Amino acid sequence: MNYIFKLLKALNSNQAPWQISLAFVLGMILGFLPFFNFFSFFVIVLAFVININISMFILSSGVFATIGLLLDPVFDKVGYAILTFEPLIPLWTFLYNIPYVQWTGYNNTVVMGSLAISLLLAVPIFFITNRLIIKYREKLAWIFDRIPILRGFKIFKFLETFKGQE
Amino acid sequence: MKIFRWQGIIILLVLIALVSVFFIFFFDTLVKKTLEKTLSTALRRPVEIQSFKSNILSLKFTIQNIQVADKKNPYKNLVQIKKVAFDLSSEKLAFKKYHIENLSVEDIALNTQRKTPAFTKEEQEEREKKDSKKIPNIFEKLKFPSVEEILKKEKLKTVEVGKHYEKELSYSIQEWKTYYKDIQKEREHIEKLKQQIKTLENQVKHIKSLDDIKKIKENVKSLKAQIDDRLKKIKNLKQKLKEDTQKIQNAYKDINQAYKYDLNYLKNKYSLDLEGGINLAGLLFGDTIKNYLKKGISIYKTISPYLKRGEEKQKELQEKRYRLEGRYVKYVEYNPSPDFVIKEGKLSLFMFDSKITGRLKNFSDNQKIYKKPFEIFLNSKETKLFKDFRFYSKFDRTTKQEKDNFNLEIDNLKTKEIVLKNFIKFTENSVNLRADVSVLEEKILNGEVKFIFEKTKPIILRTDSSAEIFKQLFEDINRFFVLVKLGGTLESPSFKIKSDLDDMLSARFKNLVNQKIAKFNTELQAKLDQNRQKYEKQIQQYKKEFEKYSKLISQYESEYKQLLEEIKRKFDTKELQKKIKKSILKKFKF
Repeated sequence: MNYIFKLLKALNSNQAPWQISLAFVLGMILGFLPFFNFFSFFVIVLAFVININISMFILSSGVFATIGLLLDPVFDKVGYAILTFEPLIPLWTFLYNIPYVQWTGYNNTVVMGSLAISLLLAVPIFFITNRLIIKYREKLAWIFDRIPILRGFKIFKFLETFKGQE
Repeated sequence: MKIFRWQGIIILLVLIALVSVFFIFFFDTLVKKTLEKTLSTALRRPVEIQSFKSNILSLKFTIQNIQVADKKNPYKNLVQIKKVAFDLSSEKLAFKKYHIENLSVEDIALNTQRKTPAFTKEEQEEREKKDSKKIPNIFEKLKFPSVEEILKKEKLKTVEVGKHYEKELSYSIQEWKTYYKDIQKEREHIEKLKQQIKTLENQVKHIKSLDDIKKIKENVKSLKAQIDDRLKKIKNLKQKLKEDTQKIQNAYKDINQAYKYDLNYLKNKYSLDLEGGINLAGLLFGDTIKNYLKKGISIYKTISPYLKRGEEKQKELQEKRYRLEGRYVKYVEYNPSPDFVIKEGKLSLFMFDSKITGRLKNFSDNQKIYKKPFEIFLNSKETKLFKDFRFYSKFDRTTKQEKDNFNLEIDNLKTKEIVLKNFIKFTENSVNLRADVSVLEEKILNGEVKFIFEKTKPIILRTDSSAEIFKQLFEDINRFFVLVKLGGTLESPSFKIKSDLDDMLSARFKNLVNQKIAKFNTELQAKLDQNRQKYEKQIQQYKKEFEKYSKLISQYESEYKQLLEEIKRKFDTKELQKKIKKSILKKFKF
């Protein structure tokens, strides 16, 4: 836990709210997607390349992976509906006939369902998280500066990451 | 603020490098483990692989020593393969399709033994004992019970009738013994009557008056009445004797009929009905063939699902969904091809202690698209074990009616010995095998398998009392065939076994049985004769007794009749009247 806090602190200094929000959203997408998958790999690459909060990305992916397990039947149904949706079939057929595209697993119901749902949720969740972080920095950040006893708890060190640099 | 994080890229590259190194070093081990797990699940048997080696760039793979264990017998391998090597087509792999251009399967060995035995010796002996017990049922017929046992066990009519007459006639004899005492008294009666007649004669000589005549007349009448009474009694005795003599005749007749009935009944009951012959070939080879058939069907059922029709497979994929795995939706392919193909394959296997080589062609999981049936050819040149071996199999799912064919031809297959049911072994065999079997729609089984045994030497393994019979039956039989006609479905296969061995054995068996029957019948007849003669002898005694009585009665009857005649003659009323007339006239003569 201690190691994670240190790692998070080191990686997340001078971070803007969008960095944390985007990390949260990318973590959600990764969490919902089946792990061994092209899209998962792509999200991980994005997380490393874009300057986002990695600790939030890891935390978010863990939380959403657990939720994803419960939502598996929903992903399957949604994915199947998308993949068999008549107007989209020419597109899927076209992709199907491009070399190596099948390896992405796009035609898998759970992959397509989780990808679709997570992408659909990505935009609103990004903005909501962004807004919440700003509000937090405005209204709650002073608590950690003024009550020394809270500084003693390591858990609040983690929460400090949300404060950013003043 | 920087949008991109270059150190992140470095970390990512390091991570990718680490994963690549991991795959380079551990990929083969991982695949080996996965293959073992997948094959074990698919074949429902434990599968072990010694090693898996891959060359990702050239897409060449080699698997060493695959062992598929027999699930019923953990000490036995159902299949063991020394080496499997194949290369994948990169062009098809881009479309997630596994097309093997060249496959090489080396040294397939079936039913290889493991070091430790599957059963304990006791269990093995118990099983052999059970097998051995199954055989004699048919030959139990040859074991006749002894005639003494039969006569003790069976309720004989001869005895029943004999005893009935014995009782009845013995009662009659007892009655006649009482009569005999009375009959003997007849002598006294006769003597007495004779005395009376003499007295009467004297009286007649000295007749003086009419009163004398009257008296004589009365005496004569009394005498006549006495004789008539005796004759009447004798007549009754004669009638009784006649009835009892008739009983003796009836006894002879009935005992004879009972004897004939017993003889026929016992002959029929204890003799053989040989009209149906014997189906020994079915009994001997049935279980072995059943086991081979079961194994064959089991192998077929293992292979068959991999050759499923395209539409069926697609439907199955659409319906089957595993949790956290999802379903793969398939779309129209611009250049359709099956998911899995083996274009050409070479294989070698160990069978009958010989190395057989072969090749396979066009294995695919969707023959509708591939439009080529899957074919397997196996053959071998002359070996120590056989002269020629040819196997051809064709799994054709390209047409509407699926048809799978299997042809096998083996010439001069030399087997040291074939032990059947621990009852007989055929040694130094040379077997010609011809099999032509087909399966329609993966369900209907049809075909025949013919084994021609030549130069065989049958050896009876039994050591009990019937061993000699079996030896006689199988003596000099060194050539026969066994034809197995297959039918039914894969779920409930049926087979009929026909063999000229049955005809040969039936003839010998009939001969042996006829000899036995003849001996049995003679013994039975002799014993029943003894029984009959015992009763007849007894009746003969009674008959003699009755004849004695008859003779005596007849004698007395004749004597009584003579006396009656004598009375009639001597004491005729008219004569007496004449005599009186004369005497009176003499007195009054002047």
